[in-house]
Amino acid sequence: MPLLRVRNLRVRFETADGTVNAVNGVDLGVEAGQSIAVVGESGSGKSQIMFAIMGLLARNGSASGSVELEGREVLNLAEEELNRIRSRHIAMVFQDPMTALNPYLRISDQMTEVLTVHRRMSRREAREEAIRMLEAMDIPDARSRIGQFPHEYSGGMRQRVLVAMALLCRPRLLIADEPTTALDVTVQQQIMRLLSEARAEQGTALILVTHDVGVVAGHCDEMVVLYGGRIMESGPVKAVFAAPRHPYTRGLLNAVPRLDRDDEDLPAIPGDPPDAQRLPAGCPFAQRCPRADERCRRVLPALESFAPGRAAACHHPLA
Amino acid sequence: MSAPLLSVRDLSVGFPVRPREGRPWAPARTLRAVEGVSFDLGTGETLGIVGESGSGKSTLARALIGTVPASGGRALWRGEDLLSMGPAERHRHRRDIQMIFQDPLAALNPRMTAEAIIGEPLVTHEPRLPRAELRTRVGEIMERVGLLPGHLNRYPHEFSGGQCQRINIARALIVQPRLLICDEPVSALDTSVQAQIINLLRDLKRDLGLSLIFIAHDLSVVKHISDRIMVFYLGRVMEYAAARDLVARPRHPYSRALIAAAPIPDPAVERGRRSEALRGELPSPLAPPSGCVFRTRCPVARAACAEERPVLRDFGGDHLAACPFGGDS
Ligand SMILES: Nc1ncnc2c1ncn2[C@@H]1O[C@H](COP(=O)(O)OP(=O)(O)O)[C@@H](O)[C@H]1O
Ligand code: SF4
Ligand SMILES: [Mg+2]
Repeated sequence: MPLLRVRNLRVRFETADGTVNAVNGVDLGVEAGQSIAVVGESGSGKSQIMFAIMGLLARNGSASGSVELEGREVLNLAEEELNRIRSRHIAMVFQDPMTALNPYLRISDQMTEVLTVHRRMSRREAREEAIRMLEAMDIPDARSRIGQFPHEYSGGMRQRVLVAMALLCRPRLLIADEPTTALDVTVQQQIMRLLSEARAEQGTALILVTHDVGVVAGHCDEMVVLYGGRIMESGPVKAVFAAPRHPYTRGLLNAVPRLDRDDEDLPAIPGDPPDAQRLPAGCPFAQRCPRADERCRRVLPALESFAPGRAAACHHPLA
Repeated sequence: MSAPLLSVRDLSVGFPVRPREGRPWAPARTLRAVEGVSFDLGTGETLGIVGESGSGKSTLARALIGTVPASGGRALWRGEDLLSMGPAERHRHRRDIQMIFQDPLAALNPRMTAEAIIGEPLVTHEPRLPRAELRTRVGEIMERVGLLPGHLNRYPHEFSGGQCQRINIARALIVQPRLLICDEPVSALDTSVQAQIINLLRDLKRDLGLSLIFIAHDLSVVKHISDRIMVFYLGRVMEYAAARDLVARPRHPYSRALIAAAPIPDPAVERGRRSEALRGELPSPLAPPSGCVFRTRCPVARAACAEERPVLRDFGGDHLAACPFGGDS
């Protein structure tokens, strides 16, 4: 049984301007200990999938489909029930650490609460455990800095604290939504490495939500490429990078300049990502796709498996 | 290179700041946001500036366009010093040097149409230009940057981020500048759109003989578009060299760290890369380390590094680095 199984997930938002179809039938499976990247550009629905899994959708949003955690349906569970399951199994790290930290509480109080409540440690034990975790996250002088407030930490330090807090409950699954996007590249490198090491030791599974294909290349086993709230392609990271099957995947991978090459050309994808309020009838990528024909514009291609562990949603897939 | 278009010598910018915890009467200290920067930029050349947040990249750009005062140095623009010019004189040159910024929408007036926004600088500089002529010029530049003529009457919020950045570029180019300063022009854009704007800037540079100063924190992007690259750390230049040479043969430990930290979008390559991650974080710019400002995070620092500030030294072929140990790697 997979750790997490998402089936036909849909998320929509009712707004004054009409309905926004943010996620349109997404399937995901995460095995214990696996790391899977959810890749896509802004507005592709990455974060809303995670919010739906976590029961954190905004008020005007609603989700349908199924989210099973270790075989148990958790989508749209009552808040209390969800909280209990969530805190035991899933932790989440966001792009902006301040959204998850209380500015008025010392780091020590925020970290130990998790341990005293969920792991029933004494206050002293919890504090020691929290310090050990901060040290593991390379926070200098953790013993004295744990008494400080979030604003006394830099952005990179706060993100380390969040990763430390997330790992404290020993979750089976960690969801990290653009965890290093706001950070400088040298700090990003530190945090991604710490995260990978800690995961390997604890056997934690990871869903990494990101727009950065470079980070995916270095840190994930499997990947899912999202566009217009749908999966365009999925498969093992190595296989997808080596031979993308979907025109969008190839376009995305080619559009990133590489430091290890002296390419003159940077093949861009023309146009802009689609508006979730006005999704086309056929393939969401048709407007920008070099292979698109009449059928693509009319008929939505289904996500079809073409090799073990790989799937793509395209009428004219790349060879 | 013939006589450079812009010749910057020893440019410094300091900000007076009050310590946060200090008493109200405590004397202001100086934050040295940029210190001792020198470079020459020729016609049609692109200088890339890379560095982490707060390293002084934007401040350097602002000093060049005159929106923050420099505290020392010179910036010779076709022989005249921009930094010591009065406002009237500066205005004459303002047309020659234009700038675009990171947040494409924020830079646009929400109540003006694309046509009015793009035409505005031309109206300022050529108030007597006939309306019909203005329209034609706006239409031409819109086409040049890849905007549809049918979008003349749209407002900024009706455009995507990439299109807004095209509007900013059109607005900057309509007065036919010689130098375009781009401060993180693609950082806020999606990957696929980022490539469009990079390509557009490269084509414009080639076709119009523009010079560019291209500022970004992403070394891969900077390398792609630049002829030469300057690496900033805490307001100081660590390394300054031809783009490919800098990436292929970095001489400064900080440049090496930046290169090692930039992920390569290819698992076959990225998984095999083994390098130490840089430890620690940027020190406070108010209390930079003595000697070499990078020494607190430098993997090869030695005692001497705390004593003396290393100067930029030529390692051959105009490849400058501010580390006496830069040769050994
Ligand atoms: N008006 C100002 N007053 C005080 N400090 C400033 C001001 N503008 C910038 N700084 C400081 O100058 C340093 C360099 O900033 P900046 O030029 O914005 O760097 P970058 O563009 O590389 O992020 C930073 O420490 C920043 O906080
Ligand atoms: S279905 Fe058609 S439009 Fe969509 S990606 Fe495939 S070829 Fe392109
Ligand atoms: Mg800046």
